[in-house]
Order: sequence, then C-alpha cells, then structure tokens
Amino acid sequence: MRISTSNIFDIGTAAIVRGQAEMMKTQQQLSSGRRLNSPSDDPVAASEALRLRQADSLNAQYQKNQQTALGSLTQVESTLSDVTSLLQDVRAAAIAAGNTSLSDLDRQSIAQDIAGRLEQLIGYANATDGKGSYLFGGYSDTAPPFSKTIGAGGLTVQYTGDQGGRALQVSDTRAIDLSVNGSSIFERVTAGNGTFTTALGAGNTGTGLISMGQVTDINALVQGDSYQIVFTGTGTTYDVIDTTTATTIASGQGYVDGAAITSVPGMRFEISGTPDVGDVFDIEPATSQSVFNTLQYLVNVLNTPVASAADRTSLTSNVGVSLLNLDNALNNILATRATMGARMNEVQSLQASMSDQDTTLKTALSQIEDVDYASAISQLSKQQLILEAAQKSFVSVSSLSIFNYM
Amino acid sequence: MGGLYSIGAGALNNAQIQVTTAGHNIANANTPGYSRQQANQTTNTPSFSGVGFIGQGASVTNITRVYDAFLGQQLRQANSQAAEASTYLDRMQHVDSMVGDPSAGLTPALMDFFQGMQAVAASPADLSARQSLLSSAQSLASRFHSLDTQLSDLRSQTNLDIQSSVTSINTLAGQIAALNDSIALSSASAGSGQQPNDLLDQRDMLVAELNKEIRADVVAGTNGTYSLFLTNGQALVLGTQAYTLGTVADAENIRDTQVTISVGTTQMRLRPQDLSGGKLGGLMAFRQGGLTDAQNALGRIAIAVTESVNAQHQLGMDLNGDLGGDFFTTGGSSVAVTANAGNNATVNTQVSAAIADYTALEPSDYRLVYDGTDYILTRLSDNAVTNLGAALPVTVDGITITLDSVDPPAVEPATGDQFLLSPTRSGATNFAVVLSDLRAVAAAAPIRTATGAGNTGTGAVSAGTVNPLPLNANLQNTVTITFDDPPGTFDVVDAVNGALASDVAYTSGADITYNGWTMQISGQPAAGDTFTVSANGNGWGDNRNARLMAALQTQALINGSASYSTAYAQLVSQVGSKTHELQVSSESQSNLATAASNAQSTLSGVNLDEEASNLMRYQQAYQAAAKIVSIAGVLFDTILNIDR
Repeated sequence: MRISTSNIFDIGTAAIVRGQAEMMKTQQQLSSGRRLNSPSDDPVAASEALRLRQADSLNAQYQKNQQTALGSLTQVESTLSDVTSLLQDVRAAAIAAGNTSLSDLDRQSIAQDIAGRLEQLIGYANATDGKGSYLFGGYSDTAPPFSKTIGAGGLTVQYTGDQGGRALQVSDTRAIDLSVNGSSIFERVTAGNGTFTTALGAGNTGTGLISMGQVTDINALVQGDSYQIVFTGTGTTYDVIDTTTATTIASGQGYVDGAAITSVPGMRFEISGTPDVGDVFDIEPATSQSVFNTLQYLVNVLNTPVASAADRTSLTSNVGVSLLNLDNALNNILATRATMGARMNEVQSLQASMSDQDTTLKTALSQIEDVDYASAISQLSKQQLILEAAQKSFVSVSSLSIFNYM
Repeated sequence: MGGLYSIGAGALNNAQIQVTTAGHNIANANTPGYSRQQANQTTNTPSFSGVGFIGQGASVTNITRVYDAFLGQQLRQANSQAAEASTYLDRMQHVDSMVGDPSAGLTPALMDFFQGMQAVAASPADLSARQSLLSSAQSLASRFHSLDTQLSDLRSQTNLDIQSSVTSINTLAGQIAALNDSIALSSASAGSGQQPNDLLDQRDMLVAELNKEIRADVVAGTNGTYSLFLTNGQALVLGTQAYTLGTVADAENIRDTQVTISVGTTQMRLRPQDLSGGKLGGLMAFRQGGLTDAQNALGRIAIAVTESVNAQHQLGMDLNGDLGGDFFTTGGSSVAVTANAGNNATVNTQVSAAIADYTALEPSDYRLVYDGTDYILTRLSDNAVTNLGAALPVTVDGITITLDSVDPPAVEPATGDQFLLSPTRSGATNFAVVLSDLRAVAAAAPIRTATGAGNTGTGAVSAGTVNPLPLNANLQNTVTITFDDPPGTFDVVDAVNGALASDVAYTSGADITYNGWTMQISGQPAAGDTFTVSANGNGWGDNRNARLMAALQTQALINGSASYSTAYAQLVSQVGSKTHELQVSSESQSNLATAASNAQSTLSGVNLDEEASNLMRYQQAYQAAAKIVSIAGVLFDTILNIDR
C-alpha cells in the first residue's frame, strides 16, 4: 500500500489529538467529581437526575413542614396539658366546696380561687405560637379568639374565631391539621350525661336530689323533648310531663326514695331525699356548655349563701352538675390531646421514613451523577498509556526519511 | 549517428522534465489539494531500415496528475455531511450545556418558587414569607428570561451565520466559475490530452471547500468545466456562469433569514429543505429543529406555570380580603400568527389564534394552508396534518384558530395562502410576575364552613373548596343549610338571594355544591341542625389556597401527563439526546471524511521518499543520457578522424 508523507503526519496528529480529547474528558470528570457534565453525556440519566433532584427538594420541604407541624402540635399539646391540670385543680376545689359543712365565707374564698382560675383559662385559650398567631382561633388567628364581657352573672366568654383549621402538607399525600379550633375544644362540651341534663327546679323547697341519669334505650328516646317530674300529693307521688308536647306521660306514680324512675322513654334516673309537694325536676336534651360557663356557674353557685336545707340540697345538686360538666370538659380536652398525640406520632413516623427516603434519593442521585473514581482513574491511566504510545510512535515514524542519507 | 544524438538529447530532455516534475511534487508536498504529478514517457516510433525497426528513443508525451474522480466525489460528500453535523452539533452543545446546568437550569428556580409557596402555607400571614415567595417568583421569571434570551441569541447568531455562509458560497462559486473558464481555455489551447493539472487541483479544492458550506453535486462538462447543482436540482454554477445566493427576511417568519438564489432578474426563495449538507445545511437544520423545539418547549412550560398558578390564585383570598388576581403573565392568551409574505395581498386575509386550553398545548409551530376549500394545519414538530374543514374557528391542540373579522368582515383566504402559528414560542420571553403587593398573595380560601352552635347531631362539615374558574358571583354569600325534621333532607338558604334549594336528600359525605363552592357534610345531623358556608373574613391564618398552589408542583398539567419539572426534564432529555445523536453522527461523519481524505491522500498525496528515489532515478537517467550524447560525439569524432 502506498502512503503519502502527509498521511503519516495527518494520521499521527489525529491520533494524538483524539487521545488528548479523551484524556481531557476523563480529567474533567475527575476534577468536577461529576460523571454527567452535560445532558448529552447521558440524556436519560440527566432527566432522571432532574426528577430525583425535585423529589429530593420536595422531601426536604416536607421535612421542614414536619418540623413546623411538630412544633405547632407540641405547643397545642402543652397548652392543653396546662388546661387539663387547671381543670383538675378546679375539680378538686369543687369537690371540697361541695362539703355542706363549710361556711359561706369558706365557699366564697374557694369561689374567688376558681374565678382566678377562669381568668387563667381564658389566657390559655388565647395562647399564641412563637410568631404571635393564636393557636385556637381557626383561620382568624391574628386576633384573640376568646373575648370576655363582665355582666351581672359574672364573666361571659365569646368565641370570635372560626371553625377553620390550618393544615400543612407533610408528605405527598398527607396534610396534617396543626391545631383544633377553640370552639370545639372549649365551647362544644356536651352538658349532662351527653344526651340529657337533669336539674332541680328553681323553687324547690324539699331536699330531693336527682341523679344525672342514663340512657337505657337509644331507640326509644324522643329526640329534642323536655320533661318535668312534678311532685304531687304530699310529696309521695309524682307526675311525669312531656313539656314539649304538654302531655302527661304518667301521673300519680308512687315515690320511693332512691328508686329508678323509668317512665320517660329510653331514660332512667333516680330521685332521692325528701321532695316537697310542688317540687319540680327538669330533664332536658343536652346542649353544649362552654367550659368558661361551667366555671362561672360554679363560681356563682359557691357565692350563693346557704341558709336552709333546700339551699343545701340546691348547693349539692349544683356542685354535682358542675362536677359533671367539668368531667365532660376534661374528657373533651383529653380527647383533643389524644388526637394531637396521634398526629405527633404520625409526623414522627413520617420523619423517620422521610429521612430514609432522603438517603435513598441522595444515593440514587449520586449513582447517576457522580463519577466512579476507581474506574475513572484507571481509565485515565489507560488513556495516558495510549497517548504516550501514539506520541512516541509518531516521532519515530515521522523522522524516517531517505533525505537523511542523501 | 544523428539518431543516437537525437535519442541522447531526447533522453536528456525527458530526464530533465522528470526531475522537474519530481521537484514540483516535492515543492508541493504540503500544498492542500495538490495531486502528485507524473511525466509519462513513451517509446518513440521506430524507423524502418533494411535490418528492421531501429528504436528512436523515448519522449515525454504528457504530464498527468494522479487523481481519482470517485475518491474526490466521496471526499466532497463526506466533508459536506461532516460539516453539517459538526455545525449543528456546535450550536446544539450551547443549548445542551445551558439547559443541563444543575444550578442554572429551570428546575432549581421552579423548586425555589414552590418552596416559597410552602413557606407561605406554613405562615400565611407572615409578610417575610410572602416577600421570599415574590422574590423566588421574580427569580423564576428571570431564569425563564435568561434561558430564552440565550436561545434567542443563538437564533440571531444563526441568522448571521447563514448570511456569512451565503457570502462564502458566493465567493467560492464565483472562483469555481472563473477557474472553469481558465481550464476550458487552457485545455483548448494546449491541444488534446494535455490538462492544466494545477488548475484542476485548485478547482477540486474549491469544490471541496464549497461542499463544506453546502452540498453541491458535480457534473463534468465536455470542455473540462464543472457544473454544480444543489440537492433540489437548482444550478449553482453552470460552466462559467455562477448564480448568486442572497438573504431576505423569511416568508413565513419575518424574524428569520431566508436564502434566495438569483436566476436572471428574479430572486427565488429557497426553502430550508432545499439547502442540505454543509455548514448552511447544519444551520438550517439547527434553526428548524433543535432550537425551535427548545424555545417552544420552554415557552410551553412558562405558559403552563402562568395559567395554572393564575387559575388557582384567582380562587383564593388575599390579606386584604379580596379575591386573588393574576400571579404571572405571558402576555395574554393570543398566539403569534404570521401571514406568509407570498399571500395574496388583495384578499389580505388575516388569521388570529388564541390559547383555549393550556394543558393541551404541543411544543410546536403550525402551518395553516388554505387549499381553496379546506384549511389544512400541519404541526411542524412531527408534520402531522389535520384537515380543519371549510370554516373557522376551529380548536385544535388547545388553540382556537379564528378568521380575523376586523374590517371589512372576515374574508376567506386566497387559495394557497399560508399562515405560521407559534403558540408557545414567546411564552418564556413574555413571562413576568404581575403580583407586586405582598398582601395580594391569595393564600387563603375565600369561604369557610361552620357547624351551628346549637347542633345536637353528629354531623361534621368539611372545610369546603372553591370550584374551578369561572368564579361564581355569589361565592362569598352566607349560605345556611338547615336539616329538616326528620333529618333525611335539608334546605339551603342564601342570605342574599333567598332559598337556593329545599328538601335536598342527604347522603353522608356526598358533595354539596352551591354558589361555586363544594363541601361535604358527614355523620348523622339531627333535625334543626345548621351548617353555614360564609366569607372567610379575617381568615388570615388560612393556607388552603397556598397549599393548593404548592400542590401544582407535582400535578400532571402539561399534556395531561407531565408536571412542570417533568416537562423540563423532557426538554433536557430531548436536547441531550439530540446532542448525543449529533455527537455520534458528527464523529462518524468526520471519521468518514478522514477516511476519504486518507484514501485520496494515499493515492494522490506526495511521498517524499518516493520523490527522493525518483530524483535519484532521473538524475541517473540524465547522467546516462549525457553519456549517450558524449558517446555519440566520440563516435562522430572517430569518423572525422578516419583520414588522419
């Protein structure tokens, strides 16, 4: 085969230039630590890397949101824990105050204490997070959600927030509510046994007490109807009247102290003590009673002087009602705290799985983008060897010429 | 004796010519395009005498170049293709490194924007979070602009490169035509069989250079001239006549440069597909292909971001208690339409187009042609043809195409009229943040729901959502839902407009939709229980709309299958694949070109060692021929000295 002189030079230099270009590329990978320096190096991997990077950034954002959510939930939880112990204190005080041997003065001082607790409770209900947002205002979190007005009956507390709840996205599919609106924590506490309330008539003169009662047959209950037990005769018989429909359900029933009364459909309660003729006991469907009202009611009850046996009965009954409502409020708050606890658990378990995902994503990204040093370095040595061979052989081939001998 | 003299003198002359030729070869060993030459020597016609034919020596009949037309043609073709691929690749590599940069690409800016949205969701009333959202929105806009500007710059640079390539082609074509003239003259005057080798080399060299600019096929003429034809059959050089190329504004898209050729006094427009091969072919392919695709794909993402964020933002409520406005803009929904320069100017029909559904957009330009009865739409990215029928408006691929009825009323176009539609081309160019007031970020939902304070049932109400645009004018009216007795049905009363519905059957968890909102009531409400939907007054802590906007990040909004970043990843992978493909083809084409060049050089190139040996051979031949003359002289002297 014939070779022209320029062939020798062209082919030789082309080989050297190619070798240099290849070495340069490996060198660039080694110095940047990246296998992919432009999408054309591996188009599929480049778009996969973008996808992973976005997933990674979303993950980071969710982790940030989880921190925020956890902080917020912890704050709500700790405030509600304060509220719980406050209500437990009030409950203990109420039990003490129920002792009829106390003097009016003793009761008044307990009432004073409870009134102070009420103010403190309003403070808790108006708690803010670190940024000045009110925890229990729903969406309206820039103004205190609970406002108080002082009237004849003591404090009245009004909820000015709404029933919204801010949530944060803590994973692709899960948004966690950061709080619970104040209305459902403090206001929507069902009174009585949850279905109906029992109470002494305001003008009772006897010492009859009525139990809180219970539901015996939910299907027999007449929704929304109120009833009255009216004592007749010499206080040994009573009538049961449905006041909503103004019909007497049962009349002239014989009264037995402490015996269960089941004349009202679906309910059962007991009346004990000695009611007078004309004494009335009211049974009404349970409505919501705010915890503030419960406390204020208790304060008012304790501030009422006790003079007669009927007063004492009334005190015992009213303190009993208050205790029942306090228990209802406590249960409501404990239920809310349980919800908070469950959410915190959920966020914490998400945190754990997200940090695993984080590692997985970063590993995947690194596998796609980062250079494998061991193979890159061995590649570089190989390319160096080839380039050196090309240079050396070029020099020796190109220096051969007949003219050297002429 | 005379015979010997003349044989000797002829041999001297031959050797001299051969040494000269070897010298010429050595001198031109490094001249590009040079083909080595050979002095061809043949035996002279013998003279007949009684004893037989007496040899009359030798003489050099001609000097030929060692050249193979087939190899030359292969080299031209390989060079042309290699130049096209490497030109396309060079430009594409700019796009490649631009979109793929992990810190300068679009993805980080998109991620920042949505992180800003999440931060607003975390503290909706916090102005500093809103500030950082707006800043990240601005940097998203500038990222779109910077990517778009780089692409636009590449386009204008490509247009300039087309002009300079046209200039080079004209120069080369002119030189080739001039050489054709010289060669025809020289060949004619030198007589048959004699060729002006060096002029032929020069012309082959120029034709090879020309093919690096544009593919031009050679047809050899009888008088030694070359005619050159473009791939569409258009003559560029005919013998001694060169046709001039020029540039004008493109008929379809006036911002681009179009190549024309002057035939006589008329200028013919050359379509991009008429110009293939070489640098010019590469530039055309880049402009029509990779560059336009990238601009359209980027524009489509900008439009999708704008439309989807705006649509959700308008469903929200800002810190001033107002409903949200536009967040971004891409300059409205109208689509750029260019009437072809060749359209019938008397009829002068104008067509307009607008985006009807951003989720259906394709990243492509369209050509609309009226064939006399129907409108034919060609999607240029894949050349899919749709017959739109005889009347406009028609909506296709999310664009509504309308006949403009400004003044006078809409007229049908003339047959053959063309329009170019670029729905997404300027999306990224016009992308801007409209929102400037921090308080105007609509993070809250405009409505909220509540359960009545005196409710005795267990019915719970969901937070409620606003239905997609258009907004209902009564959206924020207070609506009360009251359950009947028995609570199997409910009544709906709008505080402003009165009863909306009564005795609606209740299903737990079913959608309840009035006044442009949707919510669900679940559980067992009691008779007389109420639920209200009302304006979200003072709802500054609400982040429902911010969360919905943040959720757009991962929704498949583009063509029903891709999120913003997936669409961008598609663009990156598309650009990457194209670049990779060009790298491979450019390398293989340049290898082919090298192989063709080596093959030609192997045949035609000068080998110095060979020439050195030729020098020695012809030097010896010269010395021997001199000896013939000298011996002839001695012999002649012998005759002269016979009588001494």
